[in-house]
Amino acid sequence: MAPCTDPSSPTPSDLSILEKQKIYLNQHQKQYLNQSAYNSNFSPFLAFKPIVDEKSSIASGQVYDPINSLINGWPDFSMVSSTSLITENIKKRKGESNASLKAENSSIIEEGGDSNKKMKHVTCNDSHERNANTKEGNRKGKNKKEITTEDSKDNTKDSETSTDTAKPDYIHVRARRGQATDSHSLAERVRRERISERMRYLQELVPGCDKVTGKAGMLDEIINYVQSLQRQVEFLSMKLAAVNPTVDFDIDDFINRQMIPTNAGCLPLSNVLNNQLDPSFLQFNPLQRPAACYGLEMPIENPNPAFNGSMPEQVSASDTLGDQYLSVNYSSSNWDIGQQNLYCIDPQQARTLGFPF
Amino acid sequence: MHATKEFNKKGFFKQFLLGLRISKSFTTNPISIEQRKNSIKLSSDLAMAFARGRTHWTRALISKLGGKEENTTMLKGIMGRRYGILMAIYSYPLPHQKVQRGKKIVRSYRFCSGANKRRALKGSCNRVSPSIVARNLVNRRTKVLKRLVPGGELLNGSSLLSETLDYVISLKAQVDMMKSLWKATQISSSRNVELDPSASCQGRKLLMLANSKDEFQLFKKS
Repeated sequence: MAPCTDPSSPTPSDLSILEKQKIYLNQHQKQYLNQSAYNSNFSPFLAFKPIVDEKSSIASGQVYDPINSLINGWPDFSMVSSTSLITENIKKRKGESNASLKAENSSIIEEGGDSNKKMKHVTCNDSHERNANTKEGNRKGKNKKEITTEDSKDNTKDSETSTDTAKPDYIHVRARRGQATDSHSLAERVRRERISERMRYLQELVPGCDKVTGKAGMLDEIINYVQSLQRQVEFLSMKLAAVNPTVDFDIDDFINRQMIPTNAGCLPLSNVLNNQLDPSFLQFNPLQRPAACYGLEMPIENPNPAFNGSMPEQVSASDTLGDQYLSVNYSSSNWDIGQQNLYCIDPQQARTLGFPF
Repeated sequence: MHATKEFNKKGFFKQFLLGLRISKSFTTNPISIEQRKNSIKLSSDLAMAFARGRTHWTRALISKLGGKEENTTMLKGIMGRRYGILMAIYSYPLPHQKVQRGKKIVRSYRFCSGANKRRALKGSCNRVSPSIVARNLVNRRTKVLKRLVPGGELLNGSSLLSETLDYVISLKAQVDMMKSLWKATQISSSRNVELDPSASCQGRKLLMLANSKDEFQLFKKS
């Protein structure tokens, strides 16, 4: 769970959540996959599935219940497509397992009257031969979606597996039983799955959205919510403007408290007037918890020594908070609203105000 | 799915207050409420955008705000000497510059949808099928959402949804920050009122604003 320095990249939280999923799903693998040969191949797929994490479910917006899907007999590998950010190389199955499947395939062909299945099995058999012949040759870099079949515990399903790739930026997709397998529909399905996954996250986030089903209704709710939030911002800014004749809100008091290093995540307001434990301030934290969401808290970074210079001495020297603030930031003669203001408001968190660009 | 905003709340708050300070320094004293509100809102939006980092909607928002003439002083103040560099980075192709391309796309889309409709109507005897109705609804609402989210006009499908998600989170954080700031000012000013009974005007203001809190509830959707 290495923290990432790029705040806009979603990979760190993905990694953390995915690692949790891996642990969770590894416990369930044995139940639902009967062939050990598959385990090694499918664990990467399973690892991509989002799970319900109680602690962060509301915030993170993950509703997907792995247990139900597993009960259905086959993990929902279509979720793999949503995590195209992280791909892994999938090793091919050994020839022996393929051979065993071939035998099962032929039996399935006799049983099934479904034309889809039949066609797929025919092509599967062809691809099996292809597999056996060119197993080694295919290892290099092509994103071929080869059709192979496997047997699951409860029912037989045809599925596609993508071959290994030396290039990590391909999306590995698994086609489900009875579905078309050409590349266009697969891409369509990938796209649809991605959209539905995002909609699920949004459903978690927007209150009152879980009663509505369907894209149009949910979009409606989302639009209403965004509009209401924007109106709230306007209204709040109007209120704040009305309260203070000058636009400074006793900033001195607030910022001064921020000079005292606070534990990560706490809004500095909770430390305002720290000699008076005002319970209304302590309510702020739960207010902010839901809005902040997904897990990782980046550690407070060390101050950049280049900027500090004489700052720390000034900070530590004076006791009275008002003077402290003034001396650190705004020497009256020096209204240099440049680098100094921006990077040195809090010497211990100078980095935070630096632009993350 | 997205990086937490716990860490960035502090950054956001500080930048917010910094922006407010700067706006205070740059404006003349008899300032109308409208201007004050605008400056507060502007600094809040900017702080939110900068605190969030570099995403599509933040870039679009910053370029949109930076495009207006009256905001340049504030932006210069906040960004300091990096103003030139960052504005170059953020010079975003705003939607109005894309009208030309947009028209062509619209036309071909019309052709497409017409062909789709004809195709569907062939099967369903002169009645518009429900799938088309649903699709139209979704398209209409997607257009509205594109207008709401900054930079949304250039996005499509799932990326629009992910940007909306991010934007909603940031908006929520912004609203919570401002609410807590508001509460803090209320409490601190009420304390001032207690200590200093001559400050009765502040008390009256508080009462007025307390009444307006009911309006505030209206914004919350049940």
